Amino acid sequence: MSRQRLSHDGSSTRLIMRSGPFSPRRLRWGEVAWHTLLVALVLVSVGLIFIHAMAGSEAALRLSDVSFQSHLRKLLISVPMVLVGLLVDPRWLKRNAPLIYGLTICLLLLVPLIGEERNSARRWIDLGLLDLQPSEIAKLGLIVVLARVLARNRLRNLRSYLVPSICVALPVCLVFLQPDLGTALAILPVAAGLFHVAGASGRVMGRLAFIALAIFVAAWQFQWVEDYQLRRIDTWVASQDAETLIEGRNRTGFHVYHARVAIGNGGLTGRGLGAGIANETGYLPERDSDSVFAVIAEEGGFIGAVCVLLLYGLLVTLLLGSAATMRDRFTRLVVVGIALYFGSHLVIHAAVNLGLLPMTGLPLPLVSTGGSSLLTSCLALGLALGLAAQPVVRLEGDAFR
Amino acid sequence: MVGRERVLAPVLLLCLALAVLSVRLFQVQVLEHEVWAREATNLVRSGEILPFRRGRILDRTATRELVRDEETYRLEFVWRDFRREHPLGQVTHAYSLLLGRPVTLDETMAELEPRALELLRLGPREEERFIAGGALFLAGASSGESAEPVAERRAGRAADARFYIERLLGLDREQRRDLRELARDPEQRSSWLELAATISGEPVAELEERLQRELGAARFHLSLLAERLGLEDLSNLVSLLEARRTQVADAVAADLFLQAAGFRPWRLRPSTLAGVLDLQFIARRLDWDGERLAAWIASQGEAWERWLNQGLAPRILAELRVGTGGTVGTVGADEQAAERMHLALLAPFLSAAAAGREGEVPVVLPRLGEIFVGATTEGEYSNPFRSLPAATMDNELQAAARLAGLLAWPASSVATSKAQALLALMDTQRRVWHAAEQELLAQTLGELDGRLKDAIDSELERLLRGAARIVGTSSTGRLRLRPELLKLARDRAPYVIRDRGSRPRLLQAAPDFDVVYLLSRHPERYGGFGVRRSTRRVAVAMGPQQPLAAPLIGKVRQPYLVDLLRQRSAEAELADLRRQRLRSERDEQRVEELVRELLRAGQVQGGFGLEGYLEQELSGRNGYAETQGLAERADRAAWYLEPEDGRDVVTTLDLHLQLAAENVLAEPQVPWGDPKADLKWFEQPVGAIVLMSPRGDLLAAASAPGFMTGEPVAGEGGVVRERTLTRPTFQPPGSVFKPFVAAWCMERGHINGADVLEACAALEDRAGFGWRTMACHTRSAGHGPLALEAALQVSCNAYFAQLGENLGRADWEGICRAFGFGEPSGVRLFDGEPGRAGRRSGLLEQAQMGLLAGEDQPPLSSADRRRAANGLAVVEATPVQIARAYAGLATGELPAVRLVRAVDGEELPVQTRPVGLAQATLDEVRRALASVVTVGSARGKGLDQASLGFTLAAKTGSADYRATAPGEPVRKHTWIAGWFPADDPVAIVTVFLHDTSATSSHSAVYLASQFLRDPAVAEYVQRAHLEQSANGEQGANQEYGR
Repeated sequence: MSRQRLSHDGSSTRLIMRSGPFSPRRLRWGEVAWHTLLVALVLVSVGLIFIHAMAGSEAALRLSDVSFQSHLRKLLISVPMVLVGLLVDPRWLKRNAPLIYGLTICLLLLVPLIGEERNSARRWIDLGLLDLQPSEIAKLGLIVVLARVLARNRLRNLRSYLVPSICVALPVCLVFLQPDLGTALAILPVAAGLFHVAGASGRVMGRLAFIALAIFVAAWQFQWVEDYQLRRIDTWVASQDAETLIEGRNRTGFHVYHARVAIGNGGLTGRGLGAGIANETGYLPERDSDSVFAVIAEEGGFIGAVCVLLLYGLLVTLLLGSAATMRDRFTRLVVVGIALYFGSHLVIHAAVNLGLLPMTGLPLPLVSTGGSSLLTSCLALGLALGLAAQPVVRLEGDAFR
Repeated sequence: MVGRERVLAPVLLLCLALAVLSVRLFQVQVLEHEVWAREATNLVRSGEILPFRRGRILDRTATRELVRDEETYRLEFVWRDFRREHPLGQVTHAYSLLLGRPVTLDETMAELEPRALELLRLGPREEERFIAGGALFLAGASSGESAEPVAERRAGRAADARFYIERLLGLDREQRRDLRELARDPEQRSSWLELAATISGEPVAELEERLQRELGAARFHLSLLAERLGLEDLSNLVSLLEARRTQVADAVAADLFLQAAGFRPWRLRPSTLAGVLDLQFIARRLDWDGERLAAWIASQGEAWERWLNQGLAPRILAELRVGTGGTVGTVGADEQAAERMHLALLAPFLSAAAAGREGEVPVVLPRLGEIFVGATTEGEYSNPFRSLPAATMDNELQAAARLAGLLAWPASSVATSKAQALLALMDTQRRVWHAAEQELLAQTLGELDGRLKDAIDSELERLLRGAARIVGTSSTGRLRLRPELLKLARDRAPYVIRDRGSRPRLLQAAPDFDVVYLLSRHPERYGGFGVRRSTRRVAVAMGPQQPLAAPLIGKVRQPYLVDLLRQRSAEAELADLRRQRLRSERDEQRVEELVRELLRAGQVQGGFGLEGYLEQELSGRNGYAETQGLAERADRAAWYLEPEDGRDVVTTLDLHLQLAAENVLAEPQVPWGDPKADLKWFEQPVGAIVLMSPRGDLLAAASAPGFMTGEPVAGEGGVVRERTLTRPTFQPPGSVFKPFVAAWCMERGHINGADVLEACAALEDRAGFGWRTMACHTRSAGHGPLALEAALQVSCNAYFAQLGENLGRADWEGICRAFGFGEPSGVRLFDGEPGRAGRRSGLLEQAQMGLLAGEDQPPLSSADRRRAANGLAVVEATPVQIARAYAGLATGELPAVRLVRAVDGEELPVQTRPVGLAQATLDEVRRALASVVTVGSARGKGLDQASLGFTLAAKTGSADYRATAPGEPVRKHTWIAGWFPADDPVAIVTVFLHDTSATSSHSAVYLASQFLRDPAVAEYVQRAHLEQSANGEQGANQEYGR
């Protein structure tokens, strides 16, 4: 960290500090929202407990395909990122937001070139120790750059929407082309929320939503979207009726069916840890990542599932609450974005498992296994906690709207 | 703080979203809980139908079995268990996983120990390298390096291989955990073997030695099993196992294909499958190389061909029958016959959803446009089938022409006659179709299949051209399935692999008990092998060459396809009820009903004979057992419905007597000394022997021929048939009918014992002697004046012709009624019973007789009356009818013949009715018959008391059967019937010879003598007398009532 000293003539009263990425000394440890961290840790433990139970159940498949060790290892890599996030200097962050954003975009562009093809989708880059999923990092990058853009931009007129919209559209499109519709859609509520908190008018938001809908419909009509993704919508519509879902269970509705059976089987009080049908038969695909909520609902029952929902909701609310108290616009927007990141993932993940949305693969941050997801969520969490606990250096002209 | 309101909105939205999610959770978890819990239960619930045991058929003592259900075993093989539990399976599968190609069991077996050790000498480091894409070396082969380890599932494969390695090392759960711990160390350089040694605390060399020993033992045990199975060599057993494994893998591949593509692989030609589609997803998932994949593709084509030719054709016919309600009208009257046949032929090639609709939507074709990457649905496929507008057909020819048109055959007489033949298939009452008919049907199906496959091929070609332009076709220039379909197949793969691998496959149908013992005693040595109990129907009592009384007892058969198809809706109902999680009492009752009434797979039913006739009694009712939870897990609640076994049937047959009769017919002693004997008949005996108790119990009923020798024989000599109750040909009784005429005439006063008739004199119109049109058998001179007794002794045809002339219709009917001719003998005890619906099938009896032709028939001519009195022309009888009549003659009471004595301990009643003739009359005839063997036509043939040990009263008979070449003697049926002992009958005997050239005195008598001299008969007589004297005080009236 270099400092430019005060000029000797005393004319300058401004202290310009060039900061490095981390500012441990600025962090007010006392002001860190430990209760929020606690809630997050409880959620992480929930994930640990359920995945441990999954790995332990001698499932019908010869080996449980869920590895607790792997999850633990990823957690051990990811949890320190909370600390990293805590220590990030907001000024550095703000300054380098475009760079970070640019990096994530580059990573996204790299994926089709050097990315691993897995399950017929190219989404990962193999880094040896773990696989990096750039779309996860891109979410953070977007939040940061949007916060920076909207820190100055009050979205007063239509033209001011242009830059932020482009910032959103770019990663959304790139992710969408991977193809990863789920993640692409998860980004949109975050962006919309940020726009709103930044001061967007309801009318404009409405129009934007309308445009988005129009694009969606056009995509359907003119088949810009892959057929199979449209098929998902058909499957989803059909799956609303229990009987149809049951009939189609051996075909395209396989995943939806098993998620629904698992959840439904849970009943009020659940089947008990490791004792649900999802674990006993091992039929539910990706039950440690994209379908983890179904397992929680089955083994914890209605009560357990609602508790997890509430817990998660509490996390999001606490984050939003701490954001509301923040003075600096940029950091406030970052924290809001992160809160919305958690919130949108929660809602979409749970809704998909419950059949309220068409099937897309989205993990539940902090709970699901998955290196990139854990890494990003821990980093984001740390970032949110840290930014809330650091003093604002200077008040920019309009800290308040 | 301002800005807070803005943050409020997301909070509120979040709350709203959570509320919606909670409501939805409530809906699914609480409101719909039953629905989903039921589904969950069914994922782990299994139920099976418990077979009943069919009733036994016993002899008259109710202690000796003729036929019973016997427990047998089936030796079964479960590939999944074998690869998890047996070292051979473990090593082979691990090798396949690591080398990425199918390693066969034979390969591995040849070098089991070295290969196993080489596998164990790998370690975590090699595993890591493998997962990262490096090469692995095993048994001189290499897994090769991989640029796309993730796409090749290396991590998964390595994890699977590790599973088998752990099992091979024989580690328990704790030790496995320790092993994994040690393996996690990134600095780990030891091999699995060394790590295992560390964990178990023994030196590596010792561990290695121990493993070698265990592997050697495993090899030895398998050799032992191979030997006990009669396979001579271990390699034969291993090849057999490899064949089963191949079946499993083929089935898995077919399932994966079905999951992804939505149709079965044999819908496409093998060349198409191999050349146009990218099937790498299957090969990758199953660790197959190109060769194996090609072999699978070829096998699919073969399997389809087999099904098309052998299975599909009968099924279509059966479906047609069931579809028309089981009854079939004639084609001419049925104007939709052509359409029905056309639809039935097309059914296997149309998509099910289209059934009943107007246009025919071929299967597979519409789907092709949807499942491939880069393919478009533009352009309609061309439908290879078409329908013609409806038209009324009022004759067969038009219907046939229409069918030919529908099948797109060129209009020609050949096509029309082929179509006619096809339509005729619907028209029959048969349940079995001739090979030629089936072939025509199979050919037509093959042709239609060919058309569909051509259409599929051209559609695929079009798609291939189109897709090549778009990025999506894989680098090999083939069509690739869409990613989400591949994901589906991937998701389902573990389930499919487990399911198919867990299905038991038959290794040997009825293994020796040695094998069963070996496997039950040491199950831990034979992982993957299992014995399953099953039952089969076995004939316990054996005759000379085939089961005793086989034609009478009959056989069981598999259910007809038509019956199986008819119960489809009931089966669907049962399946539905079984799936319900919580059943009401009514539901449970209904399950019970359905389980009881439905035919289960493999259930046998009575075919012909007693097995068929008493199907209702012999059959039992199935049971049901249900368990919950996966097989691997510990137990849970079960529902158990006990099967009801069938009831045992006690026949009236005496095994010794039956065996004696069958032996005589199988190997009759040739009467070498008699120049008039028909020696040819004795080479190829055709006839029957009946032995009956005076109260009507069939003690023995044997027919010849009793078995096929395998050589072709013309005429009746080549047909194994039941001949005691049926008359396959014209079968007059001849002179054995005379005593009844005699008795009747005496009773009616036409004649008395003292009257003398001189009937037998020279004939007017030709050479020989006789009365009017009836020739007598005497050659040298007429019999001259005869009294009744003498007439019976010498069996004078003229005498009886004269008697018979004067008998009117009422007389003939009276004779028949008195002695039971022309009516069922009573063996079919359930016919004509009130309340029984219809006649039962099985146990065929032919009881009709020309003499009792209806009222509207012209009265018998005098010539016929003369013949009738001699038991010729208009009189026909079966051996059982004759025996019954003689029982009536001997006792004065005509019994109902019984073949079945008791069902399940419940005795069936003995029924008799009085013959209706005076004792005095009957006595006279009896006396006459007693003298036949002493001074009459049967004297000196070994039927006298000295030869037999008891007295016999009998009558011989010969009846003209058919003429041969002019100058050759007319061929005859010959008989001898009577009872013994003459004064105090304990048994009635009838011997019948079919189609012989000699008269009864030179044919039937020899067989009767041979039979009656059998020790079994003497023993029987002795026993009967003892019983009689034991019951002696029961009074003389009861004597004949035995």
